[in-house]
Amino acid sequence: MTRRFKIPLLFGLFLLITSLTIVSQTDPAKASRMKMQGMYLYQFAKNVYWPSEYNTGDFLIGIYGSKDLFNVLNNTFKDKVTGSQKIVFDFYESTSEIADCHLLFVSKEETSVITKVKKVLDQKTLLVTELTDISNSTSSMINLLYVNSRLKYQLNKSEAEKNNFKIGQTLTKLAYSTI
Amino acid sequence: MSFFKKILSTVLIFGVFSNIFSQSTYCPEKMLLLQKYKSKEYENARGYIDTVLSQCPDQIQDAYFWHVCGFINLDVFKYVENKEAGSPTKAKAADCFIKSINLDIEKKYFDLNNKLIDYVSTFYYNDAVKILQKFDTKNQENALSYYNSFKKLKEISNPDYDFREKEVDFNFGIGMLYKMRYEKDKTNNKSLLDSCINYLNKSLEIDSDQYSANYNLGIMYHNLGVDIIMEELDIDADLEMVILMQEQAVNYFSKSLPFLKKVYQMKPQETSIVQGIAAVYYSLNDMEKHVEYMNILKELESNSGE
Repeated sequence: MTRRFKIPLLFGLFLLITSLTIVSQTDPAKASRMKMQGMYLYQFAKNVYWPSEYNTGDFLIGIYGSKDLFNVLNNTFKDKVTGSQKIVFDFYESTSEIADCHLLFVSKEETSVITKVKKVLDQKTLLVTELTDISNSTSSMINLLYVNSRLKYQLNKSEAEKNNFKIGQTLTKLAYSTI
Repeated sequence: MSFFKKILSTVLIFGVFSNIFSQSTYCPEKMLLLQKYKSKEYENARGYIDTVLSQCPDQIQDAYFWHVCGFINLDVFKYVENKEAGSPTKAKAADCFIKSINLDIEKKYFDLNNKLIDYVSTFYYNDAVKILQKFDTKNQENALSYYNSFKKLKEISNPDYDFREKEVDFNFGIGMLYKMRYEKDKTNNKSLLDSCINYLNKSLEIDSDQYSANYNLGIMYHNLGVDIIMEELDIDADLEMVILMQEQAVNYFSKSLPFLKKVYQMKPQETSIVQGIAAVYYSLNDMEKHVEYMNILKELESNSGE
Protein backbone atom coordinates (compact mmCIF):
# COMPACT_ATOMS: atom_id res chain seq x y z
CA MET A 1 0.00 0.00 0.00
CA THR A 2 1.35 3.41 -0.85
CA ARG A 3 -1.18 5.55 1.00
CA ARG A 4 -0.73 6.11 4.69
CA PHE A 5 -3.08 7.43 7.34
CA LYS A 6 -2.56 11.05 8.24
CA ILE A 7 -4.28 11.33 11.61
CA PRO A 8 -1.19 11.53 13.86
CA LEU A 9 -0.67 15.11 12.73
CA LEU A 10 -4.08 16.06 14.00
CA PHE A 11 -3.38 16.20 17.70
CA GLY A 12 -0.34 18.42 17.44
CA LEU A 13 -2.30 21.03 15.57
CA PHE A 14 -5.27 20.95 17.92
CA LEU A 15 -3.06 21.13 20.96
CA LEU A 16 -1.28 24.14 19.54
CA ILE A 17 -4.57 25.89 18.86
CA THR A 18 -6.14 25.07 22.22
CA SER A 19 -3.05 25.99 24.17
CA LEU A 20 -3.10 29.40 22.53
CA THR A 21 -6.67 30.03 23.60
CA ILE A 22 -6.40 29.40 27.32
CA VAL A 23 -3.85 31.97 28.38
CA SER A 24 -4.59 33.24 31.88
CA GLN A 25 -7.69 31.42 33.00
CA THR A 26 -7.95 33.29 36.29
CA ASP A 27 -8.56 36.70 34.76
CA PRO A 28 -11.93 35.82 33.18
CA ALA A 29 -12.86 33.93 36.35
CA LYS A 30 -12.12 37.05 38.37
CA ALA A 31 -14.01 39.24 35.92
CA SER A 32 -17.08 37.01 36.13
CA ARG A 33 -16.95 37.02 39.92
CA MET A 34 -16.74 40.82 39.95
CA LYS A 35 -19.61 41.07 37.49
CA MET A 36 -21.81 38.86 39.69
CA GLN A 37 -21.06 41.03 42.72
CA GLY A 38 -21.82 44.09 40.62
CA MET A 39 -25.10 42.53 39.45
CA TYR A 40 -26.18 42.09 43.05
CA LEU A 41 -25.23 45.63 44.05
CA TYR A 42 -27.17 46.91 41.05
CA GLN A 43 -30.17 44.82 42.13
CA PHE A 44 -29.93 46.28 45.64
CA ALA A 45 -29.88 49.79 44.16
CA LYS A 46 -33.01 48.97 42.16
CA ASN A 47 -34.93 46.95 44.74
CA VAL A 48 -34.34 48.90 47.91
CA TYR A 49 -36.37 52.11 48.30
CA TRP A 50 -34.64 55.08 49.84
CA PRO A 51 -36.54 57.79 51.69
CA SER A 52 -37.76 60.36 49.16
CA GLU A 53 -35.33 63.06 50.30
CA TYR A 54 -32.48 60.96 48.85
CA ASN A 55 -34.07 60.44 45.46
CA THR A 56 -32.54 63.43 43.75
CA GLY A 57 -29.16 63.94 42.13
CA ASP A 58 -26.83 61.07 41.30
CA PHE A 59 -27.09 57.73 43.02
CA LEU A 60 -23.64 57.15 44.49
CA ILE A 61 -22.34 53.64 45.13
CA GLY A 62 -19.14 53.61 47.16
CA ILE A 63 -16.73 50.71 47.11
CA TYR A 64 -14.39 50.17 50.01
CA GLY A 65 -11.62 47.63 49.68
CA SER A 66 -12.03 46.13 46.21
CA LYS A 67 -10.50 48.10 43.40
CA ASP A 68 -11.29 45.25 40.98
CA LEU A 69 -14.99 45.49 41.73
CA PHE A 70 -14.89 49.25 41.39
CA ASN A 71 -13.25 48.95 37.97
CA VAL A 72 -15.82 46.43 36.76
CA LEU A 73 -18.71 48.53 38.03
CA ASN A 74 -17.29 51.66 36.50
CA ASN A 75 -16.98 49.97 33.11
CA THR A 76 -19.94 47.63 33.00
CA PHE A 77 -22.59 49.62 34.83
CA LYS A 78 -21.62 53.02 33.52
CA ASP A 79 -24.60 55.28 32.80
CA LYS A 80 -27.10 52.94 34.43
CA VAL A 81 -29.95 54.51 36.35
CA THR A 82 -32.16 53.58 39.26
CA GLY A 83 -35.49 55.36 39.18
CA SER A 84 -34.59 58.75 37.78
CA GLN A 85 -31.10 58.80 39.29
CA LYS A 86 -27.93 58.14 37.37
CA ILE A 87 -25.70 55.62 39.13
CA VAL A 88 -22.13 56.73 39.77
CA PHE A 89 -19.34 54.89 41.54
CA ASP A 90 -16.57 55.92 43.87
CA PHE A 91 -13.67 53.99 45.36
CA TYR A 92 -12.37 54.51 48.89
CA GLU A 93 -9.02 53.41 50.15
CA SER A 94 -9.56 54.49 53.74
CA THR A 95 -12.54 55.15 56.01
CA SER A 96 -11.75 58.85 56.04
CA GLU A 97 -12.47 59.01 52.31
CA ILE A 98 -15.97 57.59 52.63
CA ALA A 99 -18.32 60.22 51.32
CA ASP A 100 -22.02 60.78 51.25
CA CYS A 101 -23.06 57.64 49.32
CA HIS A 102 -26.41 55.88 48.91
CA LEU A 103 -24.88 52.43 49.07
CA LEU A 104 -21.53 51.43 50.49
CA PHE A 105 -19.98 48.07 49.73
CA VAL A 106 -17.27 46.81 52.04
CA SER A 107 -15.22 43.90 50.73
CA LYS A 108 -14.45 40.86 52.89
CA GLU A 109 -10.87 41.99 53.36
CA GLU A 110 -12.10 45.09 55.17
CA THR A 111 -14.86 43.69 57.41
CA SER A 112 -12.69 44.18 60.47
CA VAL A 113 -13.25 47.91 60.20
CA ILE A 114 -17.04 47.73 59.90
CA THR A 115 -17.60 49.41 63.27
CA LYS A 116 -15.31 52.23 62.23
CA VAL A 117 -17.05 52.47 58.88
CA LYS A 118 -20.49 52.60 60.47
CA LYS A 119 -19.42 55.58 62.55
CA VAL A 120 -18.76 57.67 59.47
CA LEU A 121 -21.96 56.68 57.64
CA ASP A 122 -25.04 58.82 57.69
CA GLN A 123 -28.71 57.78 57.53
CA LYS A 124 -28.69 57.81 53.77
CA THR A 125 -26.28 54.91 53.30
CA LEU A 126 -27.28 51.31 52.80
CA LEU A 127 -24.35 49.25 54.02
CA VAL A 128 -23.53 46.07 52.12
CA THR A 129 -20.77 43.85 53.40
CA GLU A 130 -19.11 40.86 51.83
CA LEU A 131 -18.75 37.95 54.23
CA THR A 132 -16.38 35.06 54.08
CA ASP A 133 -18.84 32.96 56.01
CA ILE A 134 -22.35 33.33 57.39
CA SER A 135 -21.11 32.83 60.92
CA ASN A 136 -19.31 36.17 60.61
CA SER A 137 -22.57 37.97 59.99
CA THR A 138 -22.22 41.71 60.55
CA SER A 139 -24.65 44.38 61.53
CA SER A 140 -24.77 45.59 57.93
CA MET A 141 -28.11 45.89 56.23
CA ILE A 142 -27.18 43.39 53.56
CA ASN A 143 -24.46 40.75 53.66
CA LEU A 144 -23.13 39.20 50.46
CA LEU A 145 -21.72 35.72 50.87
CA TYR A 146 -20.90 32.54 48.96
CA VAL A 147 -22.91 29.46 49.81
CA ASN A 148 -22.06 26.26 47.94
CA SER A 149 -20.17 28.23 45.29
CA ARG A 150 -23.11 30.56 44.71
CA LEU A 151 -23.17 34.24 45.57
CA LYS A 152 -26.16 34.93 47.85
CA TYR A 153 -27.28 37.65 50.20
CA GLN A 154 -28.57 37.91 53.70
CA LEU A 155 -30.98 40.70 54.59
CA ASN A 156 -30.89 42.45 57.92
CA LYS A 157 -34.35 43.93 57.62
CA SER A 158 -34.54 45.40 61.10
CA GLU A 159 -31.24 47.23 60.57
CA ALA A 160 -32.44 48.55 57.20
CA GLU A 161 -35.78 49.68 58.57
CA LYS A 162 -34.03 51.68 61.29
CA ASN A 163 -32.91 54.02 58.52
CA ASN A 164 -36.29 53.92 56.76
CA PHE A 165 -35.14 51.81 53.83
CA LYS A 166 -37.87 49.69 52.28
CA ILE A 167 -36.74 46.37 50.91
CA GLY A 168 -38.59 45.27 47.77
CA GLN A 169 -40.61 42.05 47.78
CA THR A 170 -38.50 40.24 45.21
CA LEU A 171 -35.35 41.03 47.12
CA THR A 172 -36.92 39.71 50.32
CA LYS A 173 -38.30 36.61 48.64
CA LEU A 174 -35.01 35.62 47.02
CA ALA A 175 -32.74 36.31 49.99
CA TYR A 176 -30.67 33.42 51.31
CA SER A 177 -31.76 34.40 54.81
CA THR A 178 -33.34 37.29 56.60
CA ILE A 179 -32.47 38.50 60.06
CA MET B 1 4.91 0.28 -12.21
CA SER B 2 2.86 0.10 -9.08
CA PHE B 3 1.87 -3.07 -7.29
CA PHE B 4 -1.67 -2.83 -8.55
CA LYS B 5 -0.59 -2.15 -12.12
CA LYS B 6 1.55 -5.28 -12.23
CA ILE B 7 -1.32 -7.34 -10.96
CA LEU B 8 -3.74 -5.69 -13.33
CA SER B 9 -1.60 -6.53 -16.38
CA THR B 10 -1.72 -10.18 -15.40
CA VAL B 11 -5.44 -9.92 -14.76
CA LEU B 12 -6.05 -8.26 -18.12
CA ILE B 13 -4.15 -10.91 -20.03
CA PHE B 14 -5.99 -13.58 -18.10
CA GLY B 15 -9.25 -11.72 -18.73
CA VAL B 16 -8.77 -11.52 -22.49
CA PHE B 17 -8.21 -15.29 -22.68
CA SER B 18 -10.95 -16.11 -20.24
CA ASN B 19 -13.30 -13.93 -22.25
CA ILE B 20 -12.44 -15.67 -25.49
CA PHE B 21 -12.62 -19.18 -24.13
CA SER B 22 -15.29 -18.78 -21.48
CA GLN B 23 -18.76 -20.16 -21.92
CA SER B 24 -20.26 -16.69 -21.66
CA THR B 25 -21.34 -15.03 -24.87
CA TYR B 26 -18.54 -13.36 -26.81
CA CYS B 27 -18.77 -9.62 -26.15
CA PRO B 28 -16.87 -7.40 -28.61
CA GLU B 29 -17.74 -4.29 -26.59
CA LYS B 30 -16.00 -5.79 -23.63
CA MET B 31 -12.91 -6.44 -25.73
CA LEU B 32 -12.99 -2.80 -26.78
CA LEU B 33 -13.34 -1.75 -23.18
CA LEU B 34 -10.28 -3.80 -22.23
CA GLN B 35 -8.35 -2.40 -25.14
CA LYS B 36 -9.18 1.17 -24.19
CA TYR B 37 -8.20 0.52 -20.64
CA LYS B 38 -4.90 -1.13 -21.58
CA SER B 39 -4.03 1.89 -23.70
CA LYS B 40 -4.82 4.12 -20.69
CA GLU B 41 -7.83 5.74 -22.30
CA TYR B 42 -9.61 5.64 -18.96
CA GLU B 43 -12.52 7.93 -19.79
CA ASN B 44 -13.22 6.01 -23.00
CA ALA B 45 -12.98 2.74 -21.17
CA ARG B 46 -15.44 4.02 -18.60
CA GLY B 47 -17.78 5.05 -21.40
CA TYR B 48 -17.87 1.42 -22.58
CA ILE B 49 -19.08 0.08 -19.23
CA ASP B 50 -22.73 0.93 -19.89
CA THR B 51 -22.41 -0.21 -23.50
CA VAL B 52 -21.12 -3.60 -22.39
CA LEU B 53 -23.94 -3.95 -19.89
CA SER B 54 -26.57 -3.08 -22.45
CA GLN B 55 -25.10 -5.18 -25.27
CA CYS B 56 -23.91 -8.12 -23.20
CA PRO B 57 -26.34 -8.41 -20.24
CA ASP B 58 -24.70 -11.61 -18.99
CA GLN B 59 -21.70 -9.48 -17.93
CA ILE B 60 -23.79 -8.20 -15.04
CA GLN B 61 -23.08 -11.55 -13.38
CA ASP B 62 -19.38 -11.59 -14.30
CA ALA B 63 -16.98 -11.11 -11.40
CA TYR B 64 -14.09 -10.35 -13.74
CA PHE B 65 -16.04 -7.65 -15.59
CA TRP B 66 -16.82 -5.84 -12.35
CA HIS B 67 -13.25 -6.27 -11.19
CA VAL B 68 -12.03 -4.49 -14.34
CA CYS B 69 -14.76 -1.83 -13.99
CA GLY B 70 -13.39 -1.17 -10.51
CA PHE B 71 -9.91 -0.63 -11.95
CA ILE B 72 -11.25 1.66 -14.68
CA ASN B 73 -13.12 3.85 -12.19
CA LEU B 74 -10.19 3.85 -9.84
CA ASP B 75 -7.85 5.05 -12.60
CA VAL B 76 -10.31 7.70 -13.74
CA PHE B 77 -10.34 8.90 -10.17
CA LYS B 78 -6.55 8.85 -9.92
CA TYR B 79 -5.42 10.08 -13.32
CA VAL B 80 -8.36 12.04 -14.70
CA GLU B 81 -9.86 13.52 -11.58
CA ASN B 82 -6.51 13.84 -9.81
CA LYS B 83 -7.85 12.16 -6.67
CA GLU B 84 -10.37 14.91 -6.07
CA ALA B 85 -11.84 14.53 -2.58
CA GLY B 86 -15.50 14.87 -3.50
CA SER B 87 -15.28 12.58 -6.53
CA PRO B 88 -18.06 9.98 -6.71
CA THR B 89 -15.87 7.87 -9.00
CA LYS B 90 -13.90 6.27 -6.21
CA ALA B 91 -17.20 5.20 -4.66
CA LYS B 92 -18.12 3.66 -8.01
CA ALA B 93 -14.77 1.87 -8.07
CA ALA B 94 -15.39 0.47 -4.61
CA ASP B 95 -18.93 -0.58 -5.60
CA CYS B 96 -17.52 -2.46 -8.61
CA PHE B 97 -14.98 -4.30 -6.44
CA ILE B 98 -17.73 -5.19 -3.97
CA LYS B 99 -19.95 -6.49 -6.79
CA SER B 100 -17.01 -8.50 -8.05
CA ILE B 101 -16.47 -10.06 -4.62
CA ASN B 102 -20.15 -10.95 -4.36
CA LEU B 103 -20.14 -12.66 -7.77
CA ASP B 104 -16.74 -14.29 -7.41
CA ILE B 105 -17.78 -17.74 -6.17
CA GLU B 106 -14.38 -19.23 -6.94
CA LYS B 107 -12.67 -16.31 -5.19
CA LYS B 108 -10.33 -15.73 -8.13
CA TYR B 109 -10.12 -11.99 -7.52
CA PHE B 110 -11.08 -11.95 -3.88
CA ASP B 111 -7.71 -10.95 -2.40
CA LEU B 112 -7.06 -8.26 -4.95
CA ASN B 113 -10.61 -6.87 -4.71
CA ASN B 114 -10.21 -6.72 -0.96
CA LYS B 115 -6.89 -4.91 -1.21
CA LEU B 116 -8.38 -2.45 -3.65
CA ILE B 117 -11.39 -1.75 -1.43
CA ASP B 118 -8.96 -1.17 1.40
CA TYR B 119 -6.96 1.13 -0.87
CA VAL B 120 -10.08 3.19 -1.70
CA SER B 121 -11.04 3.31 1.98
CA THR B 122 -7.71 4.98 2.75
CA PHE B 123 -8.52 7.83 0.36
CA TYR B 124 -11.75 8.43 2.24
CA TYR B 125 -9.99 8.41 5.56
CA ASN B 126 -7.25 10.78 4.46
CA ASP B 127 -9.76 13.15 2.85
CA ALA B 128 -11.70 13.25 6.10
CA VAL B 129 -8.53 13.93 8.07
CA LYS B 130 -7.45 16.67 5.65
CA ILE B 131 -10.65 18.55 6.45
CA LEU B 132 -9.96 18.22 10.17
CA GLN B 133 -6.33 19.24 9.77
CA LYS B 134 -7.24 22.34 7.81
CA PHE B 135 -9.96 23.21 10.34
CA ASP B 136 -12.17 23.38 7.29
CA THR B 137 -15.42 23.93 9.15
CA LYS B 138 -17.37 24.45 5.91
CA ASN B 139 -16.69 20.85 4.90
CA GLN B 140 -17.41 19.29 8.25
CA GLU B 141 -20.35 17.28 6.92
CA ASN B 142 -18.11 15.92 4.17
CA ALA B 143 -15.57 14.82 6.78
CA LEU B 144 -18.30 12.81 8.47
CA SER B 145 -19.48 11.36 5.20
CA TYR B 146 -15.92 10.42 4.13
CA TYR B 147 -15.21 8.85 7.49
CA ASN B 148 -18.40 6.78 7.30
CA SER B 149 -17.44 5.64 3.79
CA PHE B 150 -14.01 4.69 5.10
CA LYS B 151 -15.59 2.62 7.85
CA LYS B 152 -18.05 0.94 5.52
CA LEU B 153 -15.30 -0.11 3.11
CA LYS B 154 -12.82 -1.05 5.81
CA GLU B 155 -15.40 -3.32 7.42
CA ILE B 156 -15.68 -5.14 4.08
CA SER B 157 -11.96 -5.38 3.36
CA ASN B 158 -10.99 -6.15 6.91
CA PRO B 159 -13.93 -7.36 9.02
CA ASP B 160 -11.74 -7.72 12.13
CA TYR B 161 -10.34 -4.20 11.91
CA ASP B 162 -10.25 -2.45 15.28
CA PHE B 163 -11.66 1.03 14.76
CA ARG B 164 -11.22 2.16 18.36
CA GLU B 165 -8.12 4.27 17.88
CA LYS B 166 -9.49 5.96 14.78
CA GLU B 167 -12.88 6.51 16.38
CA VAL B 168 -11.21 8.25 19.32
CA ASP B 169 -9.22 10.53 17.01
CA PHE B 170 -12.01 11.21 14.59
CA ASN B 171 -14.67 11.98 17.20
CA PHE B 172 -12.21 14.30 18.88
CA GLY B 173 -11.44 16.01 15.56
CA ILE B 174 -15.09 16.52 14.68
CA GLY B 175 -15.79 17.75 18.20
CA MET B 176 -13.05 20.36 17.79
CA LEU B 177 -14.52 21.52 14.47
CA TYR B 178 -17.87 22.02 16.18
CA LYS B 179 -16.06 23.94 18.89
CA MET B 180 -14.43 26.24 16.34
CA ARG B 181 -17.75 26.86 14.61
CA TYR B 182 -19.38 27.61 17.94
CA GLU B 183 -16.65 30.03 18.93
CA LYS B 184 -17.01 31.97 15.68
CA ASP B 185 -20.53 33.01 16.68
CA LYS B 186 -21.39 31.92 20.19
CA THR B 187 -24.82 33.51 20.26
CA ASN B 188 -26.19 31.94 17.09
CA ASN B 189 -24.29 28.68 17.23
CA LYS B 190 -25.31 27.46 20.65
CA SER B 191 -26.58 24.14 19.29
CA LEU B 192 -23.12 23.37 17.90
CA LEU B 193 -21.79 23.35 21.39
CA ASP B 194 -23.91 20.34 22.31
CA SER B 195 -22.61 18.56 19.23
CA CYS B 196 -19.05 19.43 20.22
CA ILE B 197 -19.57 18.06 23.74
CA ASN B 198 -21.24 14.93 22.34
CA TYR B 199 -18.35 14.16 20.02
CA LEU B 200 -15.70 14.76 22.67
CA ASN B 201 -17.65 12.52 25.02
CA LYS B 202 -17.95 9.87 22.30
CA SER B 203 -14.18 9.97 22.06
CA LEU B 204 -13.90 9.52 25.83
CA GLU B 205 -16.43 6.68 25.87
CA ILE B 206 -13.95 4.69 23.81
CA ASP B 207 -10.87 5.88 25.64
CA SER B 208 -11.56 7.67 28.90
CA ASP B 209 -7.87 8.49 29.27
CA GLN B 210 -7.67 10.44 26.04
CA TYR B 211 -5.77 13.56 27.07
CA SER B 212 -6.95 16.11 24.50
CA ALA B 213 -10.67 15.41 24.87
CA ASN B 214 -10.43 15.58 28.67
CA TYR B 215 -8.37 18.75 28.51
CA ASN B 216 -10.67 20.51 26.06
CA LEU B 217 -13.85 19.54 27.90
CA GLY B 218 -12.34 20.81 31.15
CA ILE B 219 -11.35 24.17 29.70
CA MET B 220 -14.54 24.45 27.67
CA TYR B 221 -16.90 23.83 30.59
CA HIS B 222 -15.11 26.48 32.64
CA ASN B 223 -15.22 28.96 29.78
CA LEU B 224 -18.90 28.21 29.28
CA GLY B 225 -19.59 29.12 32.88
CA VAL B 226 -17.64 32.34 32.49
CA ASP B 227 -19.40 33.13 29.19
CA ILE B 228 -22.81 32.76 30.81
CA ILE B 229 -21.94 35.45 33.30
CA MET B 230 -19.80 37.69 31.14
CA GLU B 231 -21.63 37.49 27.82
CA GLU B 232 -25.11 36.12 28.31
CA LEU B 233 -26.14 37.68 31.59
CA ASP B 234 -27.63 41.02 30.72
CA ILE B 235 -26.87 43.66 33.30
CA ASP B 236 -30.51 44.71 33.27
CA ALA B 237 -31.69 41.14 33.93
CA ASP B 238 -34.05 40.75 36.86
CA LEU B 239 -32.91 39.11 40.06
CA GLU B 240 -34.51 35.73 39.28
CA MET B 241 -32.58 35.60 36.03
CA VAL B 242 -29.33 36.54 37.77
CA ILE B 243 -29.79 33.66 40.21
CA LEU B 244 -30.79 31.23 37.47
CA MET B 245 -27.82 32.05 35.26
CA GLN B 246 -25.44 31.86 38.18
CA GLU B 247 -26.80 28.37 38.80
CA GLN B 248 -26.07 27.39 35.19
CA ALA B 249 -22.58 28.85 35.42
CA VAL B 250 -21.81 26.97 38.64
CA ASN B 251 -23.01 23.76 37.01
CA TYR B 252 -20.54 24.28 34.20
CA PHE B 253 -17.72 25.09 36.65
CA SER B 254 -18.49 21.90 38.56
CA LYS B 255 -18.47 19.85 35.35
CA SER B 256 -15.10 21.26 34.36
CA LEU B 257 -13.20 20.07 37.41
CA PRO B 258 -13.14 16.25 36.93
CA PHE B 259 -11.80 16.63 33.39
CA LEU B 260 -9.02 18.98 34.45
CA LYS B 261 -8.18 16.83 37.45
CA LYS B 262 -7.85 13.85 35.15
CA VAL B 263 -5.39 15.58 32.81
CA TYR B 264 -3.52 16.95 35.80
CA GLN B 265 -2.86 13.36 36.85
CA MET B 266 -1.51 12.69 33.36
CA LYS B 267 0.61 15.83 33.12
CA PRO B 268 1.21 17.33 36.56
CA GLN B 269 3.91 19.64 35.21
CA GLU B 270 1.63 21.28 32.64
CA THR B 271 1.11 24.86 33.79
CA SER B 272 -2.00 25.52 31.69
CA ILE B 273 -3.79 22.66 33.48
CA VAL B 274 -2.80 23.92 36.92
CA GLN B 275 -3.87 27.41 35.90
CA GLY B 276 -7.20 25.99 34.70
CA ILE B 277 -7.83 24.12 37.95
CA ALA B 278 -6.94 27.20 39.99
CA ALA B 279 -9.41 29.22 37.91
CA VAL B 280 -12.18 26.65 38.39
CA TYR B 281 -11.68 26.64 42.15
CA TYR B 282 -11.75 30.43 42.10
CA SER B 283 -15.02 30.36 40.17
CA LEU B 284 -16.42 27.85 42.66
CA ASN B 285 -15.27 30.13 45.48
CA ASP B 286 -13.09 27.41 46.98
CA MET B 287 -10.32 29.84 47.84
CA GLU B 288 -8.30 27.35 49.85
CA LYS B 289 -7.98 25.07 46.83
CA HIS B 290 -7.50 28.05 44.53
CA VAL B 291 -4.51 29.19 46.57
CA GLU B 292 -3.16 25.62 46.72
CA TYR B 293 -3.11 25.37 42.92
CA MET B 294 -1.82 28.92 42.46
CA ASN B 295 1.11 27.93 44.67
CA ILE B 296 1.70 24.82 42.58
CA LEU B 297 1.61 27.05 39.50
CA LYS B 298 4.15 29.46 40.98
CA GLU B 299 6.43 26.57 41.81
CA LEU B 300 6.16 25.13 38.31
CA GLU B 301 6.84 28.51 36.76
CA SER B 302 9.82 29.18 38.99
CA ASN B 303 11.23 25.71 38.23
CA SER B 304 10.85 26.24 34.51
CA GLY B 305 12.66 29.58 34.81
CA GLU B 306 15.67 28.04 36.56
